[in-house]
Amino acid sequence: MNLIERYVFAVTEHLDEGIRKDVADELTSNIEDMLPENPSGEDIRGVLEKMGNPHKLADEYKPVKRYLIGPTLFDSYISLLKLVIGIAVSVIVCITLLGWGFKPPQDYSYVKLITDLIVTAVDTAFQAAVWVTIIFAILERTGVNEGQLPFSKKSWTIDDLPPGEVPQSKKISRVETALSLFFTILFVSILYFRPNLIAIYIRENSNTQAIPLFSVERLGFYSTAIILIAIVQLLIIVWKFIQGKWNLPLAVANLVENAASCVLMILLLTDRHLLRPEFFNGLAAISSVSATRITDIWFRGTSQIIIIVFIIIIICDSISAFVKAKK
Amino acid sequence: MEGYDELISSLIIELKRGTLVLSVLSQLKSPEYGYSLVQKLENKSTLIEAGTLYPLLRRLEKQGLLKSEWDTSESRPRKFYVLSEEGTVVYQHLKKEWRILSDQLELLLKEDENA
Repeated sequence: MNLIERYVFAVTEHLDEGIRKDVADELTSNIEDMLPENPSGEDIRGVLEKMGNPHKLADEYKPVKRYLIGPTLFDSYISLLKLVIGIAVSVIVCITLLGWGFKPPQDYSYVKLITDLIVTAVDTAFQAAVWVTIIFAILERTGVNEGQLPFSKKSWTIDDLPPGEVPQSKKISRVETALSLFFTILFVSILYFRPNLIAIYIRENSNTQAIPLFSVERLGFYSTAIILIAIVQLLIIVWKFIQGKWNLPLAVANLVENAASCVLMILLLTDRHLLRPEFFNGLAAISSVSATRITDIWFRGTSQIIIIVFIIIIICDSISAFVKAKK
Repeated sequence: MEGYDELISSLIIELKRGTLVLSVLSQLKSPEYGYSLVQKLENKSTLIEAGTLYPLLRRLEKQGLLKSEWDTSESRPRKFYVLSEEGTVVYQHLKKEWRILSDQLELLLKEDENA
């Protein structure tokens, strides 16, 4: 490759495929035009140096945003990144420790425990960083950072001016953000990574036997939905954090997410293939009530009560979001 | 005034940037290719760096102000740009606006000199 070809390649290398060849052809012919007849190596160097750094030139050809997270969102990004990684790593470490505590004693190995802890902690930190980054990149591109509603190209009017200091009642506190993050992460980590921790634990001659509630194969069926809802929840938490106060679209998003998690919850609690009969047998063994009776009580009564309580909480949460947005 | 050279040159660049599109549009009633336009502007003592002009031509084309065509009849194929219909209208608007702007500025600067 000669010097001109190398220069043109350096400029066009990262351009969109659709325009690459055309830009390259045009640039080549322009550069050749700038050179005298039978140019010397010196002439070529001179012209190319006049054209300047190929990366800068390539930037000129690209009109789109070339950063993932811009300066306006960057501070929020860093603080949330720290928060999410901190919470996620602590939750996963606790869960790992807990799971380890219920292992039979012959499996105790400190080397394995420590490698386990390090591997899960690093893995979790990476996962958390990736998801927070993706969410911020989405918010960056939808215009949330400009104090606008995502996906709306409406121009600014005086009505959009923030009322000054946000009233306490409408504010989304950092504690609230941290708490919702904590519960989201806890919920997903347990359901997704360690569903077997939800179990009854029976102690027999210093041996603890765990009888898990969920059938892991069946739970795998729901894993996509669980992750999806968690990501949407994370997105809403981040969005709330950036806005610092409730507004209408946030309340709508919150309602949709609440409805989705409600549906998931109902499916989980009423799926007879998901809840293992062994769990009910175990309960029967320690409570002197027959397993059929316990199963009956669960599916006829307890699950319904849990669902109703859950629905009430979710309705309250959704309404309070709308009320706070209206204020 | 030592140490202000850099600031001054960056302010000059900013001043010029605003006039760039207008200068380019003014020279494209008849088709020109990249380097011929650089020379045409240079002959009228308007210096535009090639690295700024070539991408600008593409952007203006994308915005619909210019049309382009490859001329392959000569030994070296060249991409020619010329004002589109919309580009002509936009150019007239910008020209009018520039005249108003420059009159206003002239007034301000004169006032300053007479004071």
